Amino acid sequence: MRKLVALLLVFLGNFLFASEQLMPNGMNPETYKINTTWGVILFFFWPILIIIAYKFIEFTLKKSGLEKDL
Amino acid sequence: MAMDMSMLEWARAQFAMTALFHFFFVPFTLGMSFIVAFFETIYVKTGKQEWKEITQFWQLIFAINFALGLSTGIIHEFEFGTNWATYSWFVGDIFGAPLAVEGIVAFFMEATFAAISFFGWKRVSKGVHLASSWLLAIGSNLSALWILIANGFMQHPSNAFLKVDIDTSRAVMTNFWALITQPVAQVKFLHTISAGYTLASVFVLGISAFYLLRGKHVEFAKKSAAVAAAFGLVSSIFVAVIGDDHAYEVTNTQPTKIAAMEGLYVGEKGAGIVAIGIPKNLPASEVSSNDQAWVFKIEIPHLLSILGKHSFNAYVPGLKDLIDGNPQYGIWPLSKLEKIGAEARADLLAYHEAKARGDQAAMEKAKNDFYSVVWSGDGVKLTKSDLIGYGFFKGKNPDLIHPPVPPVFFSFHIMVGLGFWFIILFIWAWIAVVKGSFENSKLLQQLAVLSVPLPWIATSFGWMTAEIGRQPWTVFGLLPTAESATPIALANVQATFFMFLTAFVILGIAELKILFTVVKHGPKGAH
Repeated sequence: MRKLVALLLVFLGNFLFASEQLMPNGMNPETYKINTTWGVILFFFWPILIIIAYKFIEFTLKKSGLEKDL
Repeated sequence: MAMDMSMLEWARAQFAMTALFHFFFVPFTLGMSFIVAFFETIYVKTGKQEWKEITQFWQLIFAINFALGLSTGIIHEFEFGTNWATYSWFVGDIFGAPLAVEGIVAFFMEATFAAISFFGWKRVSKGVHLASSWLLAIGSNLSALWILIANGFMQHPSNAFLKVDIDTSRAVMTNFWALITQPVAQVKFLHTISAGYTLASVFVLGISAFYLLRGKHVEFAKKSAAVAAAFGLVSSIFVAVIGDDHAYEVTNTQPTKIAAMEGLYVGEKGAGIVAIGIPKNLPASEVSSNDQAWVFKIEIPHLLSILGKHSFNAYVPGLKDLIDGNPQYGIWPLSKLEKIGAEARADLLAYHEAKARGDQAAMEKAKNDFYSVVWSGDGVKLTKSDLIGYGFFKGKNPDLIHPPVPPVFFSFHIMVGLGFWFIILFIWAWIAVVKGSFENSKLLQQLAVLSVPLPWIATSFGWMTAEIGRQPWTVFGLLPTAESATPIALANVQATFFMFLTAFVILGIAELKILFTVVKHGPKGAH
């Protein structure tokens, strides 16, 4: 939980106090450094999306009355 | 060695043609594999035969597409060797790794479980078959993950995971974990797969609506439409949400691409997004104000700064800033980047000449110069070697450094516009399904049928935004496209271009003919 709050604070801090100094080629140094933690979190959006999608399909079939036995 | 431009253009045209043809099948596979797994799960949970028939019908359509998707993808692998050998030689150590993992892990996984899922209905138990269908879907999507990790590297080759090795004159990987977890790649993966889910959902919804309009296979169509509407609604919203993060990554890692996507010639604080407009095709070096670059435009103020920089008033550099420089924000003039890039090339040459002479002192000096830090800030260090790609542009037209604005702008905006249409379509369809009115809503059914080709247009334009927007680089900021091709005779590329074109036309016609035959026949006895 503490880690989650810390991550959220870093995200919000970045939002509010983002540096405007860019790299010589116009890139943002913050994204040039690779945030592997965020990359891993992003990856897990995929299985979460699939689970939510399937649950929503079941909900839709029940709610519409097309399939009650789920 | 710089290529003859006509040979280069033919090689690019061939790759674009192959990629676009391949990409007709890829998103469909990504989405249909999961739709089939969903249908089969419902069948196994309810034990009802009608769900088995639904599963088998959509699986048949998926299987037709799957075979062509695989075969067209293999052509790409050969093109890297035949037409893009310099690229393959220079970045093969990095680009090849995710491709190899894709081949060994994901490709074999999907191929193995495809066999059980397609042909094992009477040969394995229900549970094993269901697991195979899920593993086929997961394997297909994992294939996309590794391909997009490779593509993510081409979009954002950070020195956090690579360096140009002075001994081999090639780019080498220094951190595999950073390569595979870099957010640019992961966001591309999520955006691409969810676009595939949306595409497959539009297809299933459209074909179901087609049956309802004809009054055929009504129960089958209603159930298929319900699953498609639910999956499509979740996926189309997710595409937009993750698309926002994608825009953030592009803005901060590929400034020329985002500037071309939004027709931003002169950088602005609180930059807006052009909702509708027609940009002129102008060289950025000749533009002095953004208004000069448009036939007309309707702009939403500040939106680009909010989406791209997560700040209401943040500065977003324009194409002109990236050529002339902007000292206020730390951007160097292109001429300075080119000079340093040219020095890096000279250091590389000096190192190898010294090596040939056996002159250790000269080798050491060239190496130190090559890896000397030319900029540092916010925990990032750039060495001369990181800017070597700019050296190839020294003395050339500075406008070569950015992609053409109109094709990138239109590709991006058509994709976004269609994306919003899919959200509206799925909200409408889902409400109709839940209320039980989908069966009688002729207008909605007609719109669903007419929408079937649209996601293919959207995904193709999305791909064009990514790839044309990356120009003039194959590996952004590191390797120019003009330096990536194989020095072979023009006739070779032209001959294979027309061979592939002929094959694609024949395969495309065959695919559509089989697809129409299956749809016309309907779900009864589909397997």
